[in-house]
Amino acid sequence: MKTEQQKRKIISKGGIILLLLLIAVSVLLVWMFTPKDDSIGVAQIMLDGKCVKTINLLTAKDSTFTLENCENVHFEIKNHQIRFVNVNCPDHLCEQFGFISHPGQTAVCMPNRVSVTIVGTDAKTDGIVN
Amino acid sequence: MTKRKWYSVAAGLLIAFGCGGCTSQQKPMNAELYVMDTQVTQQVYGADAKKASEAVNRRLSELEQLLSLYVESSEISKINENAGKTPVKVDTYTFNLLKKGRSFSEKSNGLFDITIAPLSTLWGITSDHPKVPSENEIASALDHVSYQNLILDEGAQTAFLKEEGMAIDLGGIAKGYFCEEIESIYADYRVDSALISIGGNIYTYHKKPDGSPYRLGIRNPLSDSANDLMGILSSHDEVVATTGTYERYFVQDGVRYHHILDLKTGYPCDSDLISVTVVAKDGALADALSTTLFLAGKEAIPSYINHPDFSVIVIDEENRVYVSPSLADRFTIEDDTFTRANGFEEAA
Repeated sequence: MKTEQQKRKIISKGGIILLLLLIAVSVLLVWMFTPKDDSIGVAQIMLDGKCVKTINLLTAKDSTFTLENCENVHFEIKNHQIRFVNVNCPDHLCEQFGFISHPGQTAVCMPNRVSVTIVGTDAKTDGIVN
Repeated sequence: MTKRKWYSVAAGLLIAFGCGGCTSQQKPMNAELYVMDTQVTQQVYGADAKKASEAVNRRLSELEQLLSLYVESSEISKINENAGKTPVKVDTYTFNLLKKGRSFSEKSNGLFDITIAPLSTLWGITSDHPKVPSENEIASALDHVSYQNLILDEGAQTAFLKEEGMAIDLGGIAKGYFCEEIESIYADYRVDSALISIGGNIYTYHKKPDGSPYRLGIRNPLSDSANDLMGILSSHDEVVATTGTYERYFVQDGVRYHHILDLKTGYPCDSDLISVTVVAKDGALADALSTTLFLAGKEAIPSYINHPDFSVIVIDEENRVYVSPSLADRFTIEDDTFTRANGFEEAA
C-alpha cells in the first residue's frame, strides 16, 4: 500500500507545470496552423428542407459534384467559392446567383428545391429582402 | 505555491485555452420549406425553436392547401370554378383575407386587384411555360378582372365571382398576410427571437438575442444576383417587402417581360422606378403596397413618403433613393451606384 505522500509524488509540481505548458503549446499550434478567414464560410446545401451536405469553403479543393438524390443539380467549387452549374430546371435562375462564399449569401433552385447557404460568423446581414 | 493556487492556475489555463472559442451566443434553429411556389426560410431562437419552426411550416402547408390558385382542392380554386354559378362557403381565414384583398384593391385605384388571375395565368410568367399573349387574349382577360364583381357575404361567409371566367389570385398579398399568423405561433411557443423570409418578404419577430436589431440587406435591383445589396436596414417586429422587375421574368424575341402586370394595359408595367421596399407592421399592407407603389411610379412618392402606417425605400431609374424620414437613421446605402435623393420634391 502506498502512503498518501507517495501518491502525491506520482505527478510532481514540475510535472503539472510541464503538462499544462504542453497542453497550452499544442492548442496554440493547432490554432496557429488552422486556416482563418472569417469572410469565407461553410456552404450548407439543403434538399427539400433537409441539410444534405456541408462544405468548408476555406479548405475545399476545386471540384464539380452533384447530389445523391438530385442529379438535376450540379455545383462547382472554385477558389473557395461555390455556385450552381449545369442545372436541369426551366428558368436557370439558380445559375444567375453566381459564385458565393461570404456568410449570409445564398442561392436557390426553386424547381429542384435545392439551396446553398453560406454560414459563418462574419455575415454582413441576417437576411436579404428581394 | 499552495495546492489551491495550483488548481487556480490549471483552471485558468483550461479556461483560456480550452474554452477560449466558446461564446454565450445562442444558435438559431434554421428551417426551410417550399410552399406556394416560394422558398420559406426561418432562423428561430428559443427553448422550443424547433417546435415553433415546425408548427410554422405545418401551418404554411395548410394555408397552401386552403388558398393556392394552383391546388385544385383549395377554396380559391373552388371559388374560381364556381365563378358566375354559385357562392362558395369558405373558412374564416380565407374570408378575412379575401375581405382584406378586396378592400386593398378598392383603395389602390385599380392598380392592385385580387381578381387579376385571368391576366396573370394568361402570361404565365411564374409558370414553366410563359408566353406573350395576343392583344385579343389580353383584352379578353382584362374584361374578366374586376374586384367589384367579387361578392363577399359576411353573414353566410361565402365568396362569389359574378362572371364566369373570373378568378382570384392572392399571390400579391397572401405571403404578407401570413406574418400575422406566424407571429401568433411564435408567441405560443415563447420564441425569443426569429426571422422568417417568405418568398423574399422578411418578417422579424423581436430583436436578436443579443439585443440588437436584425440587419436586412436590400437587394441591388441592377444586379442579376440576389446577393448583391444596395443597402442595409436595421429592423425588428415588422415586415419588409420589396418589388422589382428582377424578381421573375422571361425573355422572348430579345425582349424581357417581367411579372408586374399593369391592369391599364394588360402588359408588364413600364414604371419609372426600379425598386420599391415597404416597411410596415401590417404584413399584408407591406406585401400589396410594394407592388402597388411600384405601379404608381415616381410622381406618387410625395403622397406617401411620410405615411404614418408604413415607410418606404424607393429607387428611381436614375438610381436615386427616396427614404421615409422614419427610416433615415436605420438605413444605409452600401453601393456607390446609388445616391440618396436630396428631397421628395425631386420626385414630384
